[in-house]
Amino acid sequence: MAQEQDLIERAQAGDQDAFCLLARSYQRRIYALALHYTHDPHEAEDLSQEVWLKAYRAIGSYRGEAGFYTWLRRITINTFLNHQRELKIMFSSGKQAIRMGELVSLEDLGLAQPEPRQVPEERLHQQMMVEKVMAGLGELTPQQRLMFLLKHREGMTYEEIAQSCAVSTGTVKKGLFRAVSRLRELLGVRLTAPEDVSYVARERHKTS
Amino acid sequence: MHECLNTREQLVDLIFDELDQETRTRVLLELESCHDCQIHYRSMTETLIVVDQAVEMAMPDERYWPGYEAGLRIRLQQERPNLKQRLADWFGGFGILTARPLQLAAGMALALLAIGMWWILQRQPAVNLNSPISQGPKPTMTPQQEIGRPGQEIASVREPSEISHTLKHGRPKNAKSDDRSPSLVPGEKEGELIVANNFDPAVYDQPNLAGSIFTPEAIRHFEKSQMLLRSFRNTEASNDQAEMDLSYEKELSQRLLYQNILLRREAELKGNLPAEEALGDLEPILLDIANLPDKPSPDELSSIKERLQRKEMVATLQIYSAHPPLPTY
Repeated sequence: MAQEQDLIERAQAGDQDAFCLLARSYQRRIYALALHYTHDPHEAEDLSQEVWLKAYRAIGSYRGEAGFYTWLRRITINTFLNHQRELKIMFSSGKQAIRMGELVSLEDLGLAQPEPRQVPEERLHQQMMVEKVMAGLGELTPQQRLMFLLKHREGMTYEEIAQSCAVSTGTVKKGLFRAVSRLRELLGVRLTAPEDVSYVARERHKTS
Repeated sequence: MHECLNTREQLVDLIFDELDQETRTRVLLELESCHDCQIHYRSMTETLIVVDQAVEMAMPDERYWPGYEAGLRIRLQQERPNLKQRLADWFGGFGILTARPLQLAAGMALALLAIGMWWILQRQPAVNLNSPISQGPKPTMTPQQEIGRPGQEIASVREPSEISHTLKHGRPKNAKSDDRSPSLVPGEKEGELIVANNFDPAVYDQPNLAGSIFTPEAIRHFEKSQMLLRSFRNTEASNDQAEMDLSYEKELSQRLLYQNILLRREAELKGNLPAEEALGDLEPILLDIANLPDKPSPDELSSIKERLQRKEMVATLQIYSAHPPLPTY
């Protein structure tokens, strides 16, 4: 924690190395959020790096009133919300990402294409599952997706999500219900037999 | 009474742990009692597990991250430091700029306010027209110096006898026939005569503001112009007489006009706005006098005089040239 504070102070003084070390601690988490949100590895990379750039620009304003990750998550949510609003055209052609007003080659930036973990014998099955889930996430509205990942991945309360997305708690509740129901439909996870356990008994066992 | 629809609406809250303990227990009991609701609940939890697994599988492996970090570094290097950082760098990393920007800004604003008030307080006495200049027959600091060609005496120091002679005849008794010294201004009539030889620099208590704004050349120029305009204004006293011969005033005005243009351009180049404005105000008057016919009609004179009066040009020039005469003059 003291080390993080030291890195923050150095980054605030303009030390890019310190900022990169700070980013290293959270980059997987931010990337995972971006992957949930964009359901595309390339876009997730782009969006997560945008989060870091914004954080770098704003780090001078970080006063330590909230935890660093809480502050970073706020930047992430704002970046995602802006991403929703932006007129963005993304053509995927090999490893080339073309955005309006900007031409950035991922290879030029030294970024290799993200390669998912692969287990040879399960490769096909896993690829299909990943594609299906990504397609399912893509079916949700950006707002539903954002609410879903803030709840499911970040464990934020309804109130916190409502505050972050500038909506009511009821909207968050409805959005999450629809998101989960839609994913359930799209992924086709259906069970025929009920679980042969007592939920209440399990709950009691869990609490005891 | 169990209602599947109601129960299912609460399943998401149950999954995300947003129910209070009592409701939670009730919903769990209802799940146990309803086969369909239980299947629905389990499929929802399984869906979330599948999503997590898929995202986990889609996450790049460890080989990916060095490239990601390198890309971030490149982007950060391309990033222009923000204004605060650039200011901080400029001041050699002066910590207060980044640590206390508001306090610093407030301090700077207060300092600027104090300087502004000090400047206004310093400036007020300099433009106060209640100074001895405007108080009745007190001696004027108007320098009675040469305004014409070098070596030519235009308004020399006069003896009292000369003054009385001037009052009677409008010209000093020892003046040569071609000596076109400025006539008396209306304010110089009788008791209000400005006695040049009584000029005492000690009574001249205005701060040397003009000296701080105008160059010595400009101050001398204002002095000469002031003398010319006084002379021109004084022609009113002899307006009822025969046609006025203003050829001398015209010639002098022309020379002053050229000098005025040069000084104004110089002030413009130096960005001296007060000097530029002062010279710019004077220029049309000089131009009009220079363009007068040798023997102008009273109407032609009065229009210029009206403008002189309206703009208080003589008084203004008096302030502008409120500077002790330079020895080289």
